[in-house]
Amino acid sequence: MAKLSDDLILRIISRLPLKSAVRCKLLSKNYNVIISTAKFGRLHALRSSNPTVFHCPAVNSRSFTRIDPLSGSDPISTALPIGISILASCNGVLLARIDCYNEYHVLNPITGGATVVDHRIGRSQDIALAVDLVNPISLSSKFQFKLVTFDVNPNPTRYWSTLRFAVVVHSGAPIPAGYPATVVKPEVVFKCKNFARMADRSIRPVYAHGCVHWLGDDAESIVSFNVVKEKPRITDGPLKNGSLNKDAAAGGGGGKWFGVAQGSLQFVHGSPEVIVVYKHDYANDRWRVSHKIGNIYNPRAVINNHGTPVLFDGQRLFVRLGKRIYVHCSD
Amino acid sequence: MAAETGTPTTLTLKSNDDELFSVAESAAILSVTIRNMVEDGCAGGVIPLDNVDGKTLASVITYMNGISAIPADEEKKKSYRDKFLSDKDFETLADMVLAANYLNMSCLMDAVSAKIAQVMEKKSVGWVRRKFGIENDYTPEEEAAVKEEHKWTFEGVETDDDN
Repeated sequence: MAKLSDDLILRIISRLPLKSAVRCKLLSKNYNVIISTAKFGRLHALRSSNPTVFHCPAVNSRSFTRIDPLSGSDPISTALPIGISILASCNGVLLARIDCYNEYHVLNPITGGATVVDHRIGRSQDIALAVDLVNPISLSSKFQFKLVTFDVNPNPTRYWSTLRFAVVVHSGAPIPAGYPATVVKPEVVFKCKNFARMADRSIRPVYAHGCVHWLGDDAESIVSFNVVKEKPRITDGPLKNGSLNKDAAAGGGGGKWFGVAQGSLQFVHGSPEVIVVYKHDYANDRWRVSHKIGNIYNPRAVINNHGTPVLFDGQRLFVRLGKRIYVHCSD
Repeated sequence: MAAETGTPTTLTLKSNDDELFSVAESAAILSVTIRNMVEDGCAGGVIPLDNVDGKTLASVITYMNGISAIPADEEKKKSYRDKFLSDKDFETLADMVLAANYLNMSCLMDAVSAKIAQVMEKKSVGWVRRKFGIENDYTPEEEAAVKEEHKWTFEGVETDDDN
């Protein structure tokens, strides 16, 4: 038998289920390094025949849900013990708070790994979790995450708002003596004219391309905070631009969802008649309509405070309503 | 080529062990490598495929003929691919990955890679190393540490002496 190159072997590994793919880190040091990279994580996510989505719909959520959209089975919801709430999620890792101790934990529900955040997170209007490593399989030595809290105060007498960002960097690495596991960065204060309010609390911040993104009210603007450079930025949201507004009007003020699918920021806006999917074009930094979905299987499962989209694979939109998953197809 | 419309064009492919195969051009151009040669006008005589042996090329041509005979019906193509790959052993599949990569046939590449992944899913790390000829450069201590860190991935894996 001819010997396959590492590149071809990795293409095969990228088709394995997650657990088997991660086990291949044991093949050799080189494979351990490659399989740990973000690039491989993306390749695996694209190839995977049964993507798994972890979904925690809202801040202070009391449960999280694991969904295998393509298996056809119902999602598995795990209720949390009373007194534990989930505040944020990113790349399959959850940030949970144990309310009575005001203690924060970052945990991976697949591996059962968990680590405590030894920093009191203050009054957080809206907290986001940024896991740089796209392969946060075990809370291992290479594991690092950042927590970003965001607060917006519109000034009632003037036309600008004050945005405040606080960043906490936590390393899971064994700590060398004298080096703190948790680093609290100086607060970043930013004044701007075009961001007054966040979208309602059901829309969670999203981590993509090294930035945490919060959607503004009416999806007109987005606040992005670069967790590496620690710099904020305001950009137009999906419903800002004139041409897109018509589509929004056609959609008729239905529900909204903001998330990441296939490596891009996506915004879904639905009404009982039509669901419009907007995709952020990262290269040109603008939003465009990527799909309009007219075949609505169950009008109640539109994103109208009832159903929540959990996965969009380019053609099918999987909407969760209670314990069921409904699939809407584009034409 | 334009003059030959009406009669199907046949290409002659030569494997690296000098076996000759005739195949209809319409089937052979599933390979982007061959299609480029045809478009560049290099396909007049015999097309040498230096990276593919005769046994593998025979399989690939069986696949080319089979899949191109199926009209545009993704379900039927998929079931043909499944059936075509069902009786192939690991070594044959690995040779076919190399051939599909060299011939730039994405549909065969995807199907064979997925099939190999299916075969190796529950196999031990030792089995995968042996089959792919990967050298283990961990020290026993390092290997134990990495294994401990990824303990959860070893549930339901076959033991090392399975084949």
